Amino acid sequence: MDEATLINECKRGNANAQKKLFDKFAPRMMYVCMRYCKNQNDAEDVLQESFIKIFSSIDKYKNEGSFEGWMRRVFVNSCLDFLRKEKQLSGTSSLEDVEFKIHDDYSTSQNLEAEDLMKIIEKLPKGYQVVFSLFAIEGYSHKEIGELLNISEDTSKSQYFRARASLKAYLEKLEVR
Amino acid sequence: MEEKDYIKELFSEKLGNQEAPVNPELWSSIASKIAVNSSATAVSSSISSTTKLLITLGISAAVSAVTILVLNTNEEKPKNSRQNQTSELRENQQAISNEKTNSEVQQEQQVSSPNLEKTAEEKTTEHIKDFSNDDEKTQLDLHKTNVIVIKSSENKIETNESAHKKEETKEIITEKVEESRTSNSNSEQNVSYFIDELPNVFTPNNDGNNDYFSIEIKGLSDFSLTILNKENKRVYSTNDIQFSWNGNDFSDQLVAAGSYIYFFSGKDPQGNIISKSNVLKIQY
Repeated sequence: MDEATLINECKRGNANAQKKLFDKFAPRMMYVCMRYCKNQNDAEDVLQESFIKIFSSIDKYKNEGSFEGWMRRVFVNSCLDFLRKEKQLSGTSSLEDVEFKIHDDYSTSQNLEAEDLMKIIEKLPKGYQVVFSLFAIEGYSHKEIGELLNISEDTSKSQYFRARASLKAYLEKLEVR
Repeated sequence: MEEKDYIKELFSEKLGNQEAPVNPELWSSIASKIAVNSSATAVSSSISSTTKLLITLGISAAVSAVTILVLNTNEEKPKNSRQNQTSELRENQQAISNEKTNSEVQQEQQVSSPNLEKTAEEKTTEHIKDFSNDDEKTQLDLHKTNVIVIKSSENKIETNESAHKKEETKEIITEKVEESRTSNSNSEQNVSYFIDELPNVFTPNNDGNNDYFSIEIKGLSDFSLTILNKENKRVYSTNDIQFSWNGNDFSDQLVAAGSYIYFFSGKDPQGNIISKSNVLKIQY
């Protein structure tokens, strides 16, 4: 079954197709959830909730643009809703409070693996993490981020630049060693 | 000019398409929840003209008027399970009423409902004549369904709070109802089973109020019900249609407060499998 057929079958409520769709996308979407939620349990909750949203609103996907892109947006939005609910976005901790500690088990940046990068991002305050992920990984514009998080476009920009500067400084430290 | 954002590139390349292992049990929980939605679509496509009128009635005055026009052009096809629709209708109604968080809207709807019901009844009576069917029975059904409509507008206020969370889902259900208005196969059935409002909260704290979880269900055979916790572990299951759960798990320990999900199924007298599910919040 190709993707278009799969989607059409899901629109018709075909349970087999729904399962296939889940199997196909769940691991990638789980990773998206893991990037925003603190722990496995929360990520699983958001994953479930998002898939239910996906299946019940799949009619809204009009075969324009990538389906995975559409799914990702639904997932990212659910993650943000979750963070908002958990009040994790309202924290005021500033970047200055964050200390990057260099661990010997990190490899250098040429071959930094995904897991290492995740650990590094997680050291940022939650608000910065979210802005950074939305911009750098999800590819949202600062305008969109501003709307999603209810902050100004400029705040999004400056948070991103500061987050990036921290990460960069950190990565450079690693390389120098 | 801005230097090339290699940090962005690095992170997006490394993290953009990573995968994480997924607990396979999650699927069963998702599947049971979407089953409710998809059965709504399936059933609504075969909704009877009477029920359709009533559903419409619950939505809004303007919309009902349109539906009545649509209905008049509909042809009737025999055989179906009316109960499905009745209970689906209830779900839809509930969803709709939940959706209305604005009290003005509520009032408006409540005010406009009686008129609508009247129109609906008039129209339905016409239909019944056409169908040369058991008038009295259909009338009776109609009344039952009307009761549900009214009931759900009462529920509106109580369910407002929980409405926020589920807004999106509600929207979708409403859409389905709307779809059902345009999809056209109509049918007649007899009410042969009954499922009361599905509870979504329960407080087994022995204060004499809402200490037992039960659902009023009639007319289903081969009944089975299961309650799962957040980890998808079974905490209760029964085949007794008149079950009443006190909140104890299999080792007779009171379960923790939190979100649970239950689902049940049974066969209606025509042998159709009816299944439903809902979340259950346990508080002390």
